[in-house]
Amino acid sequence: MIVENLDLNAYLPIFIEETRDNIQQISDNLLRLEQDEKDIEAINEIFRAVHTLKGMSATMGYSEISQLAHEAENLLDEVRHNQAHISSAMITGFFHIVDEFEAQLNSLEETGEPHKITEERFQEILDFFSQPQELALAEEESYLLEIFFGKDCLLPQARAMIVCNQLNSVGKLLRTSPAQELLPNLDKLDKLQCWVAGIRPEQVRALLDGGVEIDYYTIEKSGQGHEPEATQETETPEAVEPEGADSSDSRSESHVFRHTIRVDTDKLDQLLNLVSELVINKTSLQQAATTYPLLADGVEHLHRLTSDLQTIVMKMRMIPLEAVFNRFPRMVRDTAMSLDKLVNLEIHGAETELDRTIIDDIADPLVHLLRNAIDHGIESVEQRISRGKPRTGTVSLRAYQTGNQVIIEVSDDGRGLDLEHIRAKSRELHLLPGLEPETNELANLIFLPGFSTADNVTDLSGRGVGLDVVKNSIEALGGSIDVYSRPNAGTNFKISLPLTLAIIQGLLVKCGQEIYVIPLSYVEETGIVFPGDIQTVGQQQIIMLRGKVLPIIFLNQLLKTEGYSAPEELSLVVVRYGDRQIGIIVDDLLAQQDIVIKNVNWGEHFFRSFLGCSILGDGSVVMILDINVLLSVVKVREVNHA
Amino acid sequence: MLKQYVIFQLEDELYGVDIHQVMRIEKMLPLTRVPNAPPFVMGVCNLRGSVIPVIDLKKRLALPSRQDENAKIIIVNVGKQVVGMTIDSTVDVSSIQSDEIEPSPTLVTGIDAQFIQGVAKLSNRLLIILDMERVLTVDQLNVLENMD
Repeated sequence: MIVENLDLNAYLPIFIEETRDNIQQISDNLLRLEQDEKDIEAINEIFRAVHTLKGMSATMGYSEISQLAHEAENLLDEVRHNQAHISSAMITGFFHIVDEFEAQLNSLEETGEPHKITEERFQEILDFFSQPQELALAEEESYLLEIFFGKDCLLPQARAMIVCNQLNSVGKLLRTSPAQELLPNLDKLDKLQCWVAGIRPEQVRALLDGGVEIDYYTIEKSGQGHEPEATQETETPEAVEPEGADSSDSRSESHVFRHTIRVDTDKLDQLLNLVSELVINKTSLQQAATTYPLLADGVEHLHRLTSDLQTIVMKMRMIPLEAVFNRFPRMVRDTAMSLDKLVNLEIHGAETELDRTIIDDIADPLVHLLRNAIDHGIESVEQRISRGKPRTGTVSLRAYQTGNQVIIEVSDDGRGLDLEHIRAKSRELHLLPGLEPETNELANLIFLPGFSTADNVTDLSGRGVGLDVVKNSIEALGGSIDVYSRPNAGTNFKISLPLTLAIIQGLLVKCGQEIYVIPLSYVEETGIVFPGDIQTVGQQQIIMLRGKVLPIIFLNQLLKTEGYSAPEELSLVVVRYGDRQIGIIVDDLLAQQDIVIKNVNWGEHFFRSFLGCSILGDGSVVMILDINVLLSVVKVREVNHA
Repeated sequence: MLKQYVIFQLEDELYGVDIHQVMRIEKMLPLTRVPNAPPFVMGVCNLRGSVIPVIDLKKRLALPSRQDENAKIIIVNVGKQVVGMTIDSTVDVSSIQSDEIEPSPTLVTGIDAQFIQGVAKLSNRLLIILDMERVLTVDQLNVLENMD
């Protein structure tokens, strides 16, 4: 027994992972079914997933899960055979089952044990299905049940009697062959035919599966001929096949052989670490090669190899956003239902890939934005009609890659932000300097922490709850978020994320005696500036760049560099953060190179202004500036002082 | 119960850290400043390919800070957080019976009592055993004040 337990434990992670896939399948197809209740393919897909789930959980010994799956399977079987019809109650019932599966999995993951399903909960779920079941009964169909007893079966006559009694207790046993009266006196019995009515096939199965010992049995609607293969079910789990020819066709479709393996993510992380070390070493060799020209060819080759290797490792870590987006249709459905709104979720670009570490952390902010869009953005049906909009609101999730950034947009066609209220509120909180802000600047104020507690704004304009939290978590990933809104037309949140957090292209800049890295993804252009070019407008220093005003900031001031004296010729790095441009003044530009991001696992709040650290070829540590955070800190301070 | 401690010196006092929390002791390493961090964060250094923060232990304990030429860095690992701390010099590793450690230091030791796990006598000198978790736990509010 102990050995068996150990074996099962080894399979637990695989079981959890595959079951999650199956649950996702079920959930996706339920949503399809909700759109079109005649979608046979969706029913078949659900059936397959439920069936696999039942088999696997039974093998793992999780009887509660398999029992639940069994119930679902029976019901689906009726649907497949037109004995029951898909109703919204039924779909909700299935969603309850899905929830229960998920709860079981979570419990398995946390404690290694499935949790107990209470009787009431079980009944509650079953109640959703009671309606179609009665329908099936009302038709009073009769079935032919054929039971086969194995050659080695002891006392088949007695077993046959037990079966007959059991069938009679649940339904009506019309007739048997051989006749019931003759059973006790028979010498041998290998097949018993029973015609039953007032009993559903799954009730028969419930009686026979795990009941008396029989070899196998078949059940079919009576009067349909006597070929047993139409509805065959045997006791050995491997042989339990979903009935019908259609399922075998689509089954081969969904089981296209894929050349993939599952790899522990820790191993991927280790590989990445090693490649990172290699990149650092390569950089130091490149420096050496400038002194020793003999090395140049070899180093060049090494450079190409490491960058290929790096690309592949990065790709291995990339997973499609689908992994996160998958759960949203269900969430949107539930949220919309609970608010009594009609909402259609459109998803585009779910195949866009991002680094695994980013994927893990992007889900929560997206959930937040989607909830906000449904709760506050989309209007009630009556309001929408009175505004001449379609009854059903649209929330769309769009992902795409531009350069080395991934953009995710969450937009709705709802009422839009109430800019007047934001304006009033920001005055009240003294968030704005004297100048009249542009519309977009105003909209972006909703990300300030002050707004999250401003209750009346959230009530009226509907936005602002915890948006600072969303902004923080996105910035922690090295990304940025902006909002665009038009009254009565909707709101659009645009999130930009880096493709990866592990190795980036960086610009090495000098400031006093120190070297810092500016991620190249922020950099728009670089140039040279002389102190004479710098003008002061109000409290802001600016330069004119091709006839346009560019606000600038000195890096040494941002970083409080001690004993700093500006050189005669300065370097300008124009960075874009969010939708704004700003010029950062540094002493000199040193190099552009691959930067391996290393994180420090203590005192992260001290490192807020930095994406992380990196080690240069000479072994020294440099800090990587997080332009977003650095400049937003400045911004907030300016605003507070105004 | 006999426990081992790494003993080191800060100014004139002896301090001890549970040996299980000490990874290694290094000579002073080149440091990179972390802008906008509180004063006791000296910077970050490259420790065999990983970047670790280094704190000025004297400043952390609010002791008068004076850089010693023989200063060393003691690398500790507390709850998977790896941090370097500057010390004046290491003395030894000593075994101390746990019942020899006075739990509540009522004596005046010059440092905040919250950082002290206990005190013990070590060859007629006072040994202050540090509570490393406390030393490395920094109230975020204080940090924010420091930043402004």
